[in-house]
Amino acid sequence: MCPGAAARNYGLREMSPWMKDFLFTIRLVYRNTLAMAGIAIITCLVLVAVFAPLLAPYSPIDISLDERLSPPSASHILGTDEMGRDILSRVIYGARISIRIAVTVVTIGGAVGSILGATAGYLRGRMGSIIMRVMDMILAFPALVLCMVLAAALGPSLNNALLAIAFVQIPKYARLVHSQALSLREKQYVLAARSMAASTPWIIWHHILPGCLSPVLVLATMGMGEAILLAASLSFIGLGAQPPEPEWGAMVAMGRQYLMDHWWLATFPGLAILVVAVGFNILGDALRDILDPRLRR
Amino acid sequence: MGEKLLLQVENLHTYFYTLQGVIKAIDGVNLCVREGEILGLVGESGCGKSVTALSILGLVPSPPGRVEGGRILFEGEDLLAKTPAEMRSIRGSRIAMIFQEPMSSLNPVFRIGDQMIEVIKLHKKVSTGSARIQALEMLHEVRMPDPEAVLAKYPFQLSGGMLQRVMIAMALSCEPSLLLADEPTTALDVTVQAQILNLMKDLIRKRNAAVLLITHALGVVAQTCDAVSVMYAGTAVESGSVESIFRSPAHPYTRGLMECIPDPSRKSGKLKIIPGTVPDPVNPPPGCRFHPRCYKATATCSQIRPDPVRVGPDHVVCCHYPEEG
Amino acid sequence: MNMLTFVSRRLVAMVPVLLGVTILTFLLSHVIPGDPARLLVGQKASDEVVKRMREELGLNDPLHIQYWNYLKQLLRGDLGMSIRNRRPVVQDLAERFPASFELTFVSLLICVIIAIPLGILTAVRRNHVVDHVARVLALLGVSTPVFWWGLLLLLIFYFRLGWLPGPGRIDLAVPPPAGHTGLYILDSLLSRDWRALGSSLRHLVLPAFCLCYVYLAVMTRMVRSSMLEVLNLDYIRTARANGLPERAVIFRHALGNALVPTVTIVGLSFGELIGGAILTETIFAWPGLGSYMVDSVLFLDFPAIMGCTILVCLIYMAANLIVDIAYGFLDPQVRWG
Repeated sequence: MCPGAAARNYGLREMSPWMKDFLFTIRLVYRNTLAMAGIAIITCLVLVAVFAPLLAPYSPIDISLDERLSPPSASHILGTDEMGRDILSRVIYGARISIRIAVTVVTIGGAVGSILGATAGYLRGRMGSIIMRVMDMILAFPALVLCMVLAAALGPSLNNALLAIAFVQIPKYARLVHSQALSLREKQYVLAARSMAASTPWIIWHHILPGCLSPVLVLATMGMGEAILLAASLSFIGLGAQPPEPEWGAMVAMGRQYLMDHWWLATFPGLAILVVAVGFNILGDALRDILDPRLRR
Repeated sequence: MGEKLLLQVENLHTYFYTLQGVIKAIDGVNLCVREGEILGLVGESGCGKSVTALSILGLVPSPPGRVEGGRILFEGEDLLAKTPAEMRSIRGSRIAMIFQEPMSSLNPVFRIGDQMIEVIKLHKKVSTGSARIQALEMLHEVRMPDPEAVLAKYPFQLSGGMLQRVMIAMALSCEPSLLLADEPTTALDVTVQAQILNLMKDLIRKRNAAVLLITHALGVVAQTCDAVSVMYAGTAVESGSVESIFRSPAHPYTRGLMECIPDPSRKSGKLKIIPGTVPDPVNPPPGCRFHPRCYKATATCSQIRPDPVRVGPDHVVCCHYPEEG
Repeated sequence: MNMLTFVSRRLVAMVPVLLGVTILTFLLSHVIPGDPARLLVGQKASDEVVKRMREELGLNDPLHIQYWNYLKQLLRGDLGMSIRNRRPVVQDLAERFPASFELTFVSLLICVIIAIPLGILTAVRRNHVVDHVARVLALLGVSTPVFWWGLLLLLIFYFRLGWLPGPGRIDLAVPPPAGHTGLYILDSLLSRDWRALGSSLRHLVLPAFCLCYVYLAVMTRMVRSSMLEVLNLDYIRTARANGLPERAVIFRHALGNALVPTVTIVGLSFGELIGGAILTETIFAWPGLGSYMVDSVLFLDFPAIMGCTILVCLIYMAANLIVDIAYGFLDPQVRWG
């Protein structure tokens, strides 16, 4: 590009290239079968969660001991558990917990991680490297190990498990945003803002973070699947949701004791975890392909 | 120089299918190379020069690329009709290629010797020992200092200029009758560029091989080539001998390119430029591809694609209003 | 730079991370609810005893002194006493480690043997049927809850079909093989105890398959993408332009280079394997580090949890170090540069 053109583009028009980028992404998602399949699964999950009271034939909590451990039948499509609760109803209500898990973890982990990464990348210097070294340290732990230790330290409950998982997810976002921020900070529109004496938080909020939107989106989508799996794992161990909450991982844990003769207790909640995780993962996988710069140009 | 045609590319189309749409990288290119001739293929970056070379070798990355039509006649045989196995036996032995980036064009985990010997053994069916001797001879011929030592080195231990000598040695080791050289000197230091070009020219003349030299530098063409083809946005716009094209460029684009060369004898300090930019390859302009940038363009130019017109002996141009001598 | 400086430089670079890990575990063991001294002496002990215990443990010292003492203790290889069984944690870990090692190693081996060829195949046949099938399998793999998958395997192959033995490392009726390594396969081979070998191999099948399933998916995809990256490079084009047959291009020229990132992948996904091992061991009652850790967590046995965590981190980092060294061997630029 000749110098004249660069000067002309210096102003407002180049202020939000990420908006154009984002709209282009949406268009590609719309044309991608895999992405649409993922979106369909996630939409189903949300609908089931929202309309749980209408969809569930029974209460997820109420005990009816004379119906305990009955196999799948016309009245209880997925059977009943050791307390005689309808498994289908529990799975349906479990969708609400899953959404809570996915949203909480990704919001906390993504927000804290992105802000830390953007700050570290934009400021560089000592502050930046301290932040990134701490992130490295957290990454030195295998994810599940650190989650377990944190959840145990905080005390077993679903909220504490979610905090632990969110904490473990922070470095992933920080690293991603950090590398993006390093290149974004040299962009013309950022230099322009800086030359106009915009404050550092303002630049980070208006230019650095929006520029990282697309890759963070991919990570967040896959992160939701991972969060659901990790939360279920913690609940399975006994560090997450406590009975009688209809959390899928905790349901599998209960079903484990009755596995030999009453297979439906553990099978169906696990299947629900699998389907939802597949939904998030195929959407994330498709998004990653769509956002791959080599395919875009 | 023989008058026999060695390579004839007729109405070649190579498309790339991407998310944005179909990129018509080559959209009707005609070329011919005579035996022992050095043909310069000139044009701006992105006009389809490299894709032409890759199409000839059958190496267009697929997906997303595909050769969609045309004929490539090499020594009378249509390369597009060959099986993959037949193409493999032609590549490296009858048609060889040199690339722009010598630094990344050799495998970093193998020694220079291993890579040269591998090719010689493959095409000449000789023992490792005699392949090694031939590799040494070739390195000697490209005036490589201390060829013995070079054979045992890894690519990262040599400079760009040295690596390009290795690439030339490798390409010529099986006596090809056609060499495709894709900007062979662009990535090198200016001081080395002339050396490499002269070396290439010498070796080619000695073997009576032909070269398709892809470059964006007209100076290189003037020094090295016998004939020129000019490409613009996936089409060949003009071709002819070096003298006739440099003396009387007939296509406005060729003329524009010549005027872009800074001329120290001209006093006005301003560099000439061709107005506008290269068209979008997904939606190229109808008619003559160059018309949006052409000072002579008329309504005809924006509707009808110009057919090749002969304006001199061996001088062909695709333009409705070719420049007069 | 020769290999020795290379390795020692990597070792030095590990020190700050290790220090960080110890700080983190130290801080964690201080935010736990409850008094460690009280936990150690038991609920019925008098306040006097607890106070003495606090003195003894140095819990009244300032935090940095406590950390310093903790670090010194660690360097001596002392991880403290388990609250649960009042044995040194180090001793417990030493007993548990071979079981985990055996399981993880076998799973990793199966993974590598399957994932590398499959990754190459899917990269070369990109967008063909094989690639799509592998992609779906990989997506299922990363989305499957390990604990549920393990239960299904148990349900089908143990409870229903009865083809394979259930929980544990070896049949109860079979005495464990004599030997010092604690690796049943190795010990039984060395002592020619074929009965123990057969039994422990059969016991290994389900947990190893359960563990490698998830890991396999990730690894295949990563081998595929690193292979694709290499196949796009200039020297692959050169090899093709020289007329080399596709077999030589892929197996000699591409694979040689794709192996470098592949080794990194194996090392990096090791963390995933450890996470998977925790759940797998729990389900198959495998007496390794993972099930030890879960038991400790449920008992709030913090010395044991911290000891386990530090050991796992050490293993994880050692794996990364080995990867770096392997990297050095595979890449001539590191070897000769």
